[in-house]
Amino acid sequence: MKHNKIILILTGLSLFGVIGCTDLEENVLDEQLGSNLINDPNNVEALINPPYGSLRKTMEWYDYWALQEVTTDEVIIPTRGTDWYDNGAWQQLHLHTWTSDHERLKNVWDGLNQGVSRANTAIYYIGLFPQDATTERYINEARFLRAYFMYLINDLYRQVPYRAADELDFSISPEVYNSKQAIDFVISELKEIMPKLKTKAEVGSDRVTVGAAQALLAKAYLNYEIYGGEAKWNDAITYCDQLISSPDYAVSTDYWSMFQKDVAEHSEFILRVGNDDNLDLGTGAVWVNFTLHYSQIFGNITSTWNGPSTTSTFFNTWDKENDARFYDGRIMDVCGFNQGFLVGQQHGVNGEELKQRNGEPLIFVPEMNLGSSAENAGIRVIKFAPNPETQNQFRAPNDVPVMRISDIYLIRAEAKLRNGDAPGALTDINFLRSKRNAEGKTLPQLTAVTLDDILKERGYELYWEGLRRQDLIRFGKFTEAYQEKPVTDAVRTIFPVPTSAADVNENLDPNLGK
Amino acid sequence: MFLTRNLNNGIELGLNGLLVDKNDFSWDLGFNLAYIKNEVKNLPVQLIETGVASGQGLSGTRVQIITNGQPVGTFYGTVYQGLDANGISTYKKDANGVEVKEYLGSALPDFTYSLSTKLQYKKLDFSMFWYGTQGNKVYNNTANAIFIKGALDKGFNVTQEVLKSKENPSNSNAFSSRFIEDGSFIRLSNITLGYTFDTKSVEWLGNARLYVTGNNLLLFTKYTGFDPEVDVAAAANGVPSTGMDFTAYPKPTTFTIGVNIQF
Repeated sequence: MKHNKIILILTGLSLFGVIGCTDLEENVLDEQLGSNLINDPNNVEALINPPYGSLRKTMEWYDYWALQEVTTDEVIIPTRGTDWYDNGAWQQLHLHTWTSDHERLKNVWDGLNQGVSRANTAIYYIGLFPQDATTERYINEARFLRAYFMYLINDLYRQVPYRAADELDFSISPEVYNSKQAIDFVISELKEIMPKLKTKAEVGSDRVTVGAAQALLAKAYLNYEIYGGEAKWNDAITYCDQLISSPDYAVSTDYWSMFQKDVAEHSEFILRVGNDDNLDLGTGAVWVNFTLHYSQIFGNITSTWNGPSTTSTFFNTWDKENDARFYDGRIMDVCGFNQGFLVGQQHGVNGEELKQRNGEPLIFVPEMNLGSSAENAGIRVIKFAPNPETQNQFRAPNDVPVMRISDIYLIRAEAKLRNGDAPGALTDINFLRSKRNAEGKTLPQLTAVTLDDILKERGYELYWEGLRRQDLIRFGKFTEAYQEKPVTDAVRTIFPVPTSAADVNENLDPNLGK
Repeated sequence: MFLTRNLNNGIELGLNGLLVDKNDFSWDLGFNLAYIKNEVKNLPVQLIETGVASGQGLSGTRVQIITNGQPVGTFYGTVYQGLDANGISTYKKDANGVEVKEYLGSALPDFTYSLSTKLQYKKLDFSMFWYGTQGNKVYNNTANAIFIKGALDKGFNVTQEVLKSKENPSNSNAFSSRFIEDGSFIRLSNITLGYTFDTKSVEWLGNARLYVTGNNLLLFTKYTGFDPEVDVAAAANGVPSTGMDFTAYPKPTTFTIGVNIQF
């Protein structure tokens, strides 16, 4: 033992505390303050395109469209086994149980405010160029787009950050307009630029036109009671009258004509988002992929996602026999399915009966459980016709209407009825219904019209076009129960601003909508 | 100006002993233990999300947060309470019947430890290295995305446990504490056995040693994935995550036979 040396080395006995502080002082080495930018006239185009890109994004199924549709009776996205849970995002929208951390609320907030910011960038920098007719036109288009994005932010969140285009000190939090201030700002902007905007005949409905400003003014006044606490039906009617009397717009006798592929201009369109499946526009609008079952593949469309469906509550309001808007079969030969509502046994392009992945027949049924459904649960909706020969299956070949003339007839009918002019409302509704017949289908004329009839008609005409939540709120029906949703609290008519936004702008009210 | 603090308090203890030191026999033993407590303080926002889950039905799912009063790497989500009679997941709820989210533990271990030893007997030498962690959680994203009954219904392969379970194929694979597992482990990392030849009689040869090494020989853990010592990148908006496992390739067991010759 005497040779055994036991050496104990205390190699390290340390008590330590580390504090990490990060001083985020920015050192700007170089900044493009427009020196070369404004010398090249080609850059004017480059400045006006970004806010149009934000407009396109609102009509993506997962963006603004989702907040206006999945929260209502028109769209339901049940979780089907391992598909479509997505952190509860879709269930929460349907059940009205979202919190301010909801990913969609955050993404839409960020996207729309980015749109405002892009429009401001366009207004400010195009203003630095030598001014001519082109720069003036684009500045006015950008001012419309800024007003449009602010209108949407206000509709969703009822508080809108605003920073003037020439306010470049970004260390100051933008001021926040309350709902009335925001809608008044939007209205005054629209009135100011409207006389200077081009017409649809001059520039097409994929650009901002005088008609787009009239349509947004009609919508702003129709909803003014919600946004500003005061009814302004006559103002809504005034702008509808201007649009309806314009030769640029007409309700089509073929409802489905505007939803076919490769339709560029259409008599119904007031403002549209242009899409082209041959162009990479950064966003796609997968209007068939997202709803079709995995087995419903055809042509070059080989990836379908089995997602959004409609509720039985909405489905059961329809006159399925007589309304041309319920069903159209012109794409059956190349797709295997119809436009409108997809219910019952589904078929392939060659008429074969399709199956689910577990071998059971693919029969779409209205019954479902929001939290755990089978693959065939839910009636599907196809509004836009795909291009089976497309080389880019995740890009739609359809121009998507943001605002169209049939909506304006319905706005006028509603404003007239709310203003005490029931015969005028009936005339407008029946005019629209007279255009919604098809071969072998005659939609009956109404003999009297109630507010409930108008809401129903808006559903028939405009379903899945990103308008439903706004409509249900205006008619006081947003919080009512429908399939897989109980009655919900009135506070749910306003979305809370995302936590990430409230954290950085002390002027926002984090408790609104909670 | 906010001064966010990421506070680490801990203690590290290392012991190395030469237990036997004779001419033809020696024995070294070393032990290391580190305990660390991490806590985030003064974060000017309520929370920062990270840990982006992968797989179908998991879009938008973020499993980890950085928030005040908790260590970094804290998992956050609903608390799984088993399957109901229909094979549908049930979760802990509050008095209003709303599913509650809780802190589900951190990917940072309570303590880490290692043990090394080396024995030399005449021309033979032997060394061994063990290490492990205690108290860290791992998110088994692989199981969350693939090993559920719904995946079997789609025609995917699943584990035997999933095959036998009463889970309903329509059950959602929502992220919850169901997929947060104890990542504690003890690993026999390395064993080397060597023999040094007597080279005095060979003038041109300086030294010659033959050895056999085995790496990653044993692993003791309750973790059901391949390997709890895993961290697949799943950053959100550039905020790094930790303790994420999604189809990570397991560590191989390797054997090496070698000869060292010096001239």
